[in-house]
Amino acid sequence: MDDKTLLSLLADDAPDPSPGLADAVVGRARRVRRRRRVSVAASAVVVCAAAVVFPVVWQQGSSVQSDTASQTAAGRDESYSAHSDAPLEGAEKPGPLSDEVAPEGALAYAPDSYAPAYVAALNALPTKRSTPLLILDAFCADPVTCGSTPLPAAFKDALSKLVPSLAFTDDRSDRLAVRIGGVTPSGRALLVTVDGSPIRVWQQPDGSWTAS
Amino acid sequence: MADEEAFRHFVAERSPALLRLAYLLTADRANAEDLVQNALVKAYLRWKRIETNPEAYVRRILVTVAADERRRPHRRHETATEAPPELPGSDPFAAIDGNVRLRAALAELPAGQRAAVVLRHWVGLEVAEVAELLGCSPGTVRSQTLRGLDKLREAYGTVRDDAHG
Repeated sequence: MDDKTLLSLLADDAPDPSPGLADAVVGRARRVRRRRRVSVAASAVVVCAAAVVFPVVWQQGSSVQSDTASQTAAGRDESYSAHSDAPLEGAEKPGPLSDEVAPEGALAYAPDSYAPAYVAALNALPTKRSTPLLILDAFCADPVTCGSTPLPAAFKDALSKLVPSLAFTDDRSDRLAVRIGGVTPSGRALLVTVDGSPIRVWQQPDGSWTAS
Repeated sequence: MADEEAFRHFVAERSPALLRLAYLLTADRANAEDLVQNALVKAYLRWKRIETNPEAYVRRILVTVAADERRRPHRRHETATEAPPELPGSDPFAAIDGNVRLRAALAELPAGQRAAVVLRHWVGLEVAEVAELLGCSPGTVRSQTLRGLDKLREAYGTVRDDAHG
């Protein structure tokens, strides 16, 4: 007897199909399909709800920040309206600036939407810096007073996109690393703190920033 | 509705062959029925895409699911027994001693050997295809097939010798 015949002999012991096999299969398949549709519909509802709720929460958060910025700006320059004139409005929510190192009068955050302003200020540094440009990974009110938390990731990403040869270090003893601080509105300009010194930057009509 | 008619026709026509394959892969009548039903449910759900060659699709599901079952941890503790797990009297073939012994030999094969033998010599797949389905090397497939067949032939030889007195 060859192998196939031997296996055929064994296969003869297989059960016969039940008379209602097709009905049972179709019934089960329909239940599976119905469950999948319900599951997909539920997922769609969750996604839609998130799509509605998230922007509302976002907008409310932005309003609170806008108020804070406006109040801060009003104290220094009555003509400045922080968010009506803010550059790149609608960009990602900024990370917080550590309170203990924020220069007096600075905005309570250094938003990633201000990254172009920071880049203009960095380019205006009086001394030639190393390549890649090294930045201390913390907000600093001056060259020796720095916050304990690292810079917000979104802010760093925004800077890195604008300055490809950029690196961050958490080595606070590195004297070559640039210390960046908060931004302070000053009329139509912004004062960006770099190495403890405020650098005035302006937004041009084309949206770019230049240091004065 | 035409699709469902076609599916029902396929089930009526091909389910005996699919059950035979499932039985050889599982060596268990109840598991074979479950396996075929699960595979047919999957086939129904994607009938439009497989309509041209549904049997190949279902066969592949049978083999894959049987192989998956084999890989599951609780299946790894499977141990061969001297006799088939069914109680005496519950099996319509129990009266035929030779059949019982052959079935026992099939059930006693390690699941990997059984799958290799069936896929290679019943389904007629190439060694490489069996290796891919079972997730092992072609060399393993060859050795598993040889060992499995040896055990089945040995069981068959015993049955035949007994029959001839």
